[in-house]
Amino acid sequence: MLAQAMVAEEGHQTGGPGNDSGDSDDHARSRREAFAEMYDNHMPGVYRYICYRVGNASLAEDLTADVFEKALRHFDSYKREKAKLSTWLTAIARNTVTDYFRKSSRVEVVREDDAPEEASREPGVEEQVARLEEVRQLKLGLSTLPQLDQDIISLKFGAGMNNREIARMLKVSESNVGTRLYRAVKRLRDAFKGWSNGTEG
Amino acid sequence: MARRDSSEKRFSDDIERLLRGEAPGPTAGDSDYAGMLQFARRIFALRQEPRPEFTRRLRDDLLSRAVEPDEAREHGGVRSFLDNLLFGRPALRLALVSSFIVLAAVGLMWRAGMISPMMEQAGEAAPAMLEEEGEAATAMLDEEGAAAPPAKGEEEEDTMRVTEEAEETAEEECAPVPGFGATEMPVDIRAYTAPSHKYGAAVEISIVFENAGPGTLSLQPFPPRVLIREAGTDTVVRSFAAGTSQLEQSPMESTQYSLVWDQKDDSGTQVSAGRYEIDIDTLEVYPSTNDVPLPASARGVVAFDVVSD
Repeated sequence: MLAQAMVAEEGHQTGGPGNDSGDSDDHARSRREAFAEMYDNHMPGVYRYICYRVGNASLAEDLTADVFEKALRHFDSYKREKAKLSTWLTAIARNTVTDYFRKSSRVEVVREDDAPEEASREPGVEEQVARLEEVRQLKLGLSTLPQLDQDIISLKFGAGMNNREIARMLKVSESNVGTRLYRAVKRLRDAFKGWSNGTEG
Repeated sequence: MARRDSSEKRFSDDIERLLRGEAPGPTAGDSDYAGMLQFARRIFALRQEPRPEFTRRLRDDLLSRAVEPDEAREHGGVRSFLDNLLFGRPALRLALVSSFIVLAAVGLMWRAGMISPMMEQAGEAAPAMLEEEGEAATAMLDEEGAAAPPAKGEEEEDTMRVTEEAEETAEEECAPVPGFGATEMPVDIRAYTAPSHKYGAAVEISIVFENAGPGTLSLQPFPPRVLIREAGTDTVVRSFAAGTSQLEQSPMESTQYSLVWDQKDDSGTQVSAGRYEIDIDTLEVYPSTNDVPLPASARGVVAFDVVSD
């Protein structure tokens, strides 16, 4: 209880979503609104990041739900002066994905017939099949990259973070992120059959 | 080399433009680079958006609980009573906070060895006891019924996973420290590597340190010493020296440290096929506000195999 009280107090003092008015209605409303705003602004990015990491839409939904459950639990202790909300949430997402892989005790081995469940909702069977194939190839290619490179690709293309944000999150230099991104995309391209220079669209 | 660096920088800039919905810069006839950009576009196009039903359902579920604490308060009950008691009365809150600070100070002084009932009782025997400070402290905790560390033999026999089991060990080893409690390990340490590696292949190891406590922490030395042990015999085959810096972590912040083991022992000889363990030690965790270490000396093991072809 004491710890909870302290956390609540900390949230009030550090510019978290809480307020000092003491009016429970206002507090509840502002907390709810702040959380809703965070969810609306950042949930798609978190989901996309997770999707790149796990390559499975329904699993990505489960893990995204876990991320926001955690965010809700720790919402009052978030300190905006320490990190941007997107960075905070992505850090939770990274840990959630990492924990998932650890708990499931598996190495991501992608079978040739391991097609994603929901690659597309666009019309056209041929387009869907082609997209499924591309997503499958991408998943295969990503799984062959070192974990750090998978993270960089996912943070870049999924979460839409810039190199500086990625560097800060992964504790590497910004130039290293650029180098690894370039090389990872190059390796992916080489692994992607039919996507070598100039053959694509 | 310079050309590649330039391409990497240009590529990063172009990806940023792409993500902002802008057109990338001209490729100036560089077909390889154009191919890279084209492929990056495909990666971008393949990203999957969340289903609207999922988005809405999760949102509703979370928001219904985002106000629960306040609703519970409105509806009364024990929690409401305690909340009112603690937060509705500034004087009581001040008294509570003061008591907590005093308790914290006493706890930290005790941890620092400035208060030691055993030393007072022992009188002249104190210097001798100081030489065996660790064991004496263990004995004291045992007698007082507080959380005591396991016997040294037990500690060495234990094979731990880095996260949960390391936390459990920390719980056993720790006396209560204000702000974290005896049952809470403030730093979550997880090590990752593939479960098996080919003989002679480089072993990529990632170690994630996450501040799971409520306050800013300093981890030192950073990186901590990492040992590769032969499972079963517990022999250290390779030792990666600790760094000399320290790492400051805010609550919920995590830091990834990566290293590569070339499967060679400290003398440069390829190790034999078998099971090995990654052991992290020497790490001490300090709250940023003082220099008394928290009871989070981290030591954990994650095992993997080196297999012959």
